[in-house]
Amino acid sequence: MRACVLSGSSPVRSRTSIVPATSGEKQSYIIAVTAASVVSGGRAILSNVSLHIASGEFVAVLGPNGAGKTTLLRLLAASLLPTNGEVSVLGCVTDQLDTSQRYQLRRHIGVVPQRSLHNPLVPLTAGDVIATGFLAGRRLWGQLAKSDSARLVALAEHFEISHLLDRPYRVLSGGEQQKVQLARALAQDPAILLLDEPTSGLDTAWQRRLVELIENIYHTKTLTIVMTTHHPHHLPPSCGRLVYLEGGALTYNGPYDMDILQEWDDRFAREESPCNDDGGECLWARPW
Amino acid sequence: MGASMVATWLLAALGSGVACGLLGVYLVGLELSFLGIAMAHAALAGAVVAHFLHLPVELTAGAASWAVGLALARLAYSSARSSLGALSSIFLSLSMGIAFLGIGMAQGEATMLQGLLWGNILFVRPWQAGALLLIALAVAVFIALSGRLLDALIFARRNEAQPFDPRYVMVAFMTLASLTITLNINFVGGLLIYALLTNPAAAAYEFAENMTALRLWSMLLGVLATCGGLAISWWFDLPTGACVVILSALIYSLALLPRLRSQRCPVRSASQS
Repeated sequence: MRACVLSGSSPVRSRTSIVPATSGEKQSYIIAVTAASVVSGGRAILSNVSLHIASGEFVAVLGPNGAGKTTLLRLLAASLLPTNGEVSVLGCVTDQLDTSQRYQLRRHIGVVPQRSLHNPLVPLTAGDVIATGFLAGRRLWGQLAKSDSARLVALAEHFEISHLLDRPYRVLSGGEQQKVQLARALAQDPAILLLDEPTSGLDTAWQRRLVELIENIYHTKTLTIVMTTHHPHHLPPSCGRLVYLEGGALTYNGPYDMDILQEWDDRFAREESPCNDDGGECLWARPW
Repeated sequence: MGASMVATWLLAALGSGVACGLLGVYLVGLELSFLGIAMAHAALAGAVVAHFLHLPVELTAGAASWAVGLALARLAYSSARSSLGALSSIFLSLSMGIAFLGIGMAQGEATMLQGLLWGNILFVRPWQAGALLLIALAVAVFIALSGRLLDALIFARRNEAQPFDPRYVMVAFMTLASLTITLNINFVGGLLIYALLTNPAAAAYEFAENMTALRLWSMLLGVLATCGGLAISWWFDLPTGACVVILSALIYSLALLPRLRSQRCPVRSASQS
């Protein structure tokens, strides 16, 4: 039986110091989503989704825009609670944790959000952004330890972004920003890495580089990776399982299958703008 | 006019400029300028209520400002549907309603209460100048120690990428902000203090390329606004709060000028690139 990861770390209330999973089947999974639904404003964003992910798996969540991919990732990041059903991450049932405990749980979950989710007004350097990964679990103390600084340098070297550390994050290219975000997420030494459309909006060359980098991370770190994308051809070869969401419902959950991917790719190509046949987004077609 | 009086004013201006400049970086960065306004007016309402109930003015004003700051910070992380700007506006209008009601009812003492609105350097006592310096020091130490946490908060637009609980640092921030606002009521005035929290920081954001430069410039521009405004008001015998705020707006305009001049037609630039 998997015990909640919080039980062996910071003090927690006895009520939830160990949150056992309730079903026998899902206890060996690092992530167990059971009949989870999310309803917002009377509309179902996710409907009755069940998904179990074992430690060390690489799972891709695909689906068109608005399918509920990001919402599913937010459930797994413990930043959103299900309206119905249950989400267990690292042995902890998220809606049985109080707010402090959910933040403690998030120390173990690295999240790379979509690119637009940063404030371009703020002149943080790439190094500053990576350093925020070392703040996991902090309350008021924001200083970096010497060991953190050394790890930051090592991470930057590993990701080949040492030359970017002193440059403002906002002036970096989209691909460089994603590399920095990946380094930030790994700086917190997570057990689970959640990637929300990491290649979206990048040109073809950067998409390929990012996919290679994610592949490299998966092979060199002991991580469970869940990655969303609506481009089937953006998946690293190590991805072992595909999950397809459509209209908030899970319509496919099975092994990596080239034929299925090809079918989805064709469907996306028909549904989306014809100008994205190079695999990237058609930036010039945006109304702004 | 004694040298000690001038020294009191200068120290108050220095403390006010440093504290407001540093705090402003995060109020502007969090896109919570309205929060500063709401807190300032809550302090004003608290001061007016304290006057009527014969309570300690600074204590009541500080408590009111702190309560509003914490309530808004809490709402910022809640599932309330209204934006923080709308919520701040509600608190702001409530505070102003209470303050103006009190001022309207005061009759004979209206001048003293109006001093809370506009600020009056003559009301600043040496202990308040000392307190302003102390709070400036506290803000500087807080940002030196916890700045990275605040930086992460203003950088990430959504919360799920944050691996730490932001509530502790937000409570500490709101506490320092409410103390700073309360102590500034006699200097800049409850109606105008938010401009001092916003303008120098907004000016620094226009040209700073890293957080250290941003904080330093915001602090320096804050001191320039308070000390410069004080000098102008003394020289021309004008209200201090108004001079400080007008000067801070002028500083922002100057910081914006190079950006406006270098602006190109975005469509043309995009097609060229």
